[in-house]
Amino acid sequence: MRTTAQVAVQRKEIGPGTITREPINTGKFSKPLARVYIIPERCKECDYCWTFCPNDVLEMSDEINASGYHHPKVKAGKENDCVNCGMCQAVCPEFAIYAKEVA
Amino acid sequence: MISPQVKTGGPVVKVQHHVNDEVIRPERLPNIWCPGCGIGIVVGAYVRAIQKSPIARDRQISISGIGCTGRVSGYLNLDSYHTTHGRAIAFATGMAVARPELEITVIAGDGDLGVIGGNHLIHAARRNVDLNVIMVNNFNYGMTGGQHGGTTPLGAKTHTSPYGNVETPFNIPYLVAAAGASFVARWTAMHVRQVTAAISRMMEVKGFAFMEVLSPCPPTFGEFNGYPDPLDMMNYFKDKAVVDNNADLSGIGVTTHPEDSVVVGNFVDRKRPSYQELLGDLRARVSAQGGAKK
Ligand code: SF4
Ligand code: SF4
Ligand code: SF4
Repeated sequence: MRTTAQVAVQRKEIGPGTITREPINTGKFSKPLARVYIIPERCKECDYCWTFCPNDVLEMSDEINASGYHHPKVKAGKENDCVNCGMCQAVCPEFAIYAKEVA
Repeated sequence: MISPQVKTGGPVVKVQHHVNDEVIRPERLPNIWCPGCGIGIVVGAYVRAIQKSPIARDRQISISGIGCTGRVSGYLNLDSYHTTHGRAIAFATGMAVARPELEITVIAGDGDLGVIGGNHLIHAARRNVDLNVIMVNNFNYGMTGGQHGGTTPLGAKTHTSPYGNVETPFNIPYLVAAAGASFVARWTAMHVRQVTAAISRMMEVKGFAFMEVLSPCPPTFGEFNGYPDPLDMMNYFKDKAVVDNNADLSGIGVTTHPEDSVVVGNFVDRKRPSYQELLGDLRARVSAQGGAKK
């Protein structure tokens, strides 16, 4: 993430009259980091959470629950990519998944 | 030197409880709905709207009828009511008139609300009874194995219309708006955030607040109409939905044809006196003149 000052420097480098698409207040925000929680026994392997996660954090695991469904897991290498957007929780019909920000 | 602690999201953590469990009855899960059924998504949206709402939890009431969506009340940790087929709105109207301080939400299916209980729906909208009604539309009678009904698109195949449905379905938002509801919306199970926001708004609206939520029903509707996997119908909603809050409601019938768009939005949000308000005024007027004239 860049500070407002860094953005100003970059603008100068690009030259006057060039519009950069960097919002002027990016420095005020930090990207949330969250951990994903699942309740494996509730999952029915509908595919929604891993299909609609906008950051492509999730995938189907090899493990199955008592009903024979594969529940989700975090993709290898994506452990720090969940931004707590809440999409997986919202789209899950089973109350089987949610994310919570890492304190 | 002490190395700074690095924050990490880490792999998935397996737990026993969900952050929404306080509003549901977790001991009854997994629910009975098929994998990918949209009803559970609507319940999740309702639960999160309740968690956000300033209305006390013991004033939130859920009422449902019969059918797949009829099971909703049984999964909610609220005062809830599982009524007879098609009559959810009739029970809800009685409760809303007797106890106007309650925030009553009817969640039921298209067959229950729009067909078997169709008259209750239009007359509650006409009277503008202060209720929230969420109609989960899966385009068929799912629980009984997939029969066609009053919301099945023209030409769609079901077990009882194997050569294609010859009936023109109801365009429910148009019907309810014409009957006089204060609030009318349509979203899909893919539009989870809009569904939650609309429920929050419906809880504020005075008068009849209605939302249709189009929902995937993979085994009994999707299977015969080109959407066999749960994702098929969700992707159709994602790709073909057009948000138009000012849509001409007469032209927003749903075909589920892969080429046809699905118009969604919060179509109507208007001020009209609710049935309870008019009834309260009447009571005040009559008691001011010393009761009914003999
Ligand atoms: S909260 Fe958002 S980013 Fe994180 S896993 Fe769920 S959908 Fe993906
Ligand atoms: S959305 Fe829920 S039920 Fe569907 S695969 Fe993910 S965790 Fe399982
Ligand atoms: S039959 Fe259709 S509506 Fe009923 S639970 Fe299954 S997917 Fe849902």
